[in-house]
Amino acid sequence: MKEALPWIRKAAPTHPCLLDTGQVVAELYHMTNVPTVVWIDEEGQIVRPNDVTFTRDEANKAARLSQTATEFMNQVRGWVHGTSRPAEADIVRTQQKLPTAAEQLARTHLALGLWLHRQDRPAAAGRHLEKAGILAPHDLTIRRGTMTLQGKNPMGDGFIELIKEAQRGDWQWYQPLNH
Amino acid sequence: MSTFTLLEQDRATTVPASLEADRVRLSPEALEEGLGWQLKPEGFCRGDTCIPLPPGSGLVNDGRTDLRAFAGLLGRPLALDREESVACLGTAAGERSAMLSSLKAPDFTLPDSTGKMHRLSDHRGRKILLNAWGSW
Repeated sequence: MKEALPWIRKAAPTHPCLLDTGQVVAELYHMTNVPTVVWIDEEGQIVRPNDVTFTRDEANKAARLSQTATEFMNQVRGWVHGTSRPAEADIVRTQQKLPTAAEQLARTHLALGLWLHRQDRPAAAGRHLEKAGILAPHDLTIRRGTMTLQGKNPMGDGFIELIKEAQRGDWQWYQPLNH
Repeated sequence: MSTFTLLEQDRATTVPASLEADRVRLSPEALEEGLGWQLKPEGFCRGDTCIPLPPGSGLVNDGRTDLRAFAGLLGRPLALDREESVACLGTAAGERSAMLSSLKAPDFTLPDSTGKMHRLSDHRGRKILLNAWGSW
């Protein structure tokens, strides 16, 4: 949490900016990395499932996303102002990525690891955080998101090792929708 | 008799348990207190739902339920740490997938940096851009 506070203070957002130290939203929405963006309409319906964008075009380009941040935000404006309609429900369902049994078991080990960490039992916590990462090796909310708790640097060596692993294994670091 | 902590969503309950070699067995009282399931003649029941006890499964022995086998019966993932005397019962992939496929945005309540709690559904009636980010 202390890592996020300086960013929130500096941005001073006018919208609610919430702290989720237990990965509640990642579990509920099956998010596997950040940034992840979901569009929810006035009735509480998901009208565009987990997608990926940064706020700057350069960042989207660096992440090899097919859409620029400007294009993404123009689509958001079109939806908000009612000049464009989001996809129909059947299409939205085909765009969703749903969790596997192994990924849900990983989430369960993550929950146990986070609880043990809060109980100040770091060795036991580490066992379950590691197990979660083995079960869901492409879930960056687990792999990278728990590095600090495991004494690794998510912006340093641990991060670089993970990038190399993704390159070797040819798996997608970011998983945007197919536009 | 030892004690064992059961985690399910936000709940942590410590109950008496029999710890055998690699098994954790719960009395009917502990099962109900920890996970909300009652052991009845017709099977395991919670609310209107009853799951029959598979005959000859060994799931219940001397009135005590094997926790891992019970999670298997429910089809739910279980992370169990015998050394730490704690286990977490998670959400099945099928259940999570059904929730997501309904397209009803899962509700949650989380604090902002001042500690004020916010519930997603309190913003019903407005469009929401839910953006998850991390400072790592």
